[in-house]
Amino acid sequence: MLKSVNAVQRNALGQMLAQYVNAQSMWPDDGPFPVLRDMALGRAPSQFSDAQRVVLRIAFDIFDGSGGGVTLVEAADALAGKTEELRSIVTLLLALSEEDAVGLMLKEHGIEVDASVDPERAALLARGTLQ
Amino acid sequence: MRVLDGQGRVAVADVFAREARRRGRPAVSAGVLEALARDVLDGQGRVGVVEVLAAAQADIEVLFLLADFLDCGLASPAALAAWVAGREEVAGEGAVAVHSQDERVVPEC
Repeated sequence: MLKSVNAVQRNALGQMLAQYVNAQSMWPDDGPFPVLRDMALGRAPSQFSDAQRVVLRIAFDIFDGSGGGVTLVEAADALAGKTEELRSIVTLLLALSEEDAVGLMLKEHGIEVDASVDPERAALLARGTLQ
Repeated sequence: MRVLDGQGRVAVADVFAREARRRGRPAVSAGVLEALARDVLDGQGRVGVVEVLAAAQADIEVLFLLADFLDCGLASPAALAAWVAGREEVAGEGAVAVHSQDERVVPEC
């Protein structure tokens, strides 16, 4: 689990990675559309390349820890030579360098995290376990 | 790691293993780097991206090492060779690349 990154921010990080594969419309503030996960895991037809699917699976891994379980070796194989997809992961890494950097990076991507949102409620909503 | 030939895998694994053994390296990030070295060598995926991100959060040197590997090393085979050579140069000098708080940008490849 990532330190100092709460559930709301994890959702926002997923949104940011979704931007890199032009899937931001499928990842709103209250969590990603289920079909996006199906597409990321290759269970539904999609226009995503293998590299873009790996980025999305990493996004799901960060979001709830149960996405595709992408390993670094798998990611390296899928993303080698894919500049934009590699940039998405590098951006994420650099954002983790300082405690306040995640919020700043999200803001740069036009993603505002609402501090008033209860992270636990957001996580339950995102997992579809809160009615 | 399919994108690398045998020689490339050994070279990259050496970099991760050497960095794992660096004096003062926290046990958590050292363990992740050692596991990554094994993963690169045998192609088995044991270390997850999220696990790597968590280790990088706890060790700024590992964070920049991995960011540099992804951003520069994986751009092309020539870039990878340059990345390995750069890391060997750092090791030869016995110094660790130091990044200031403000240096968030990975050096140009």
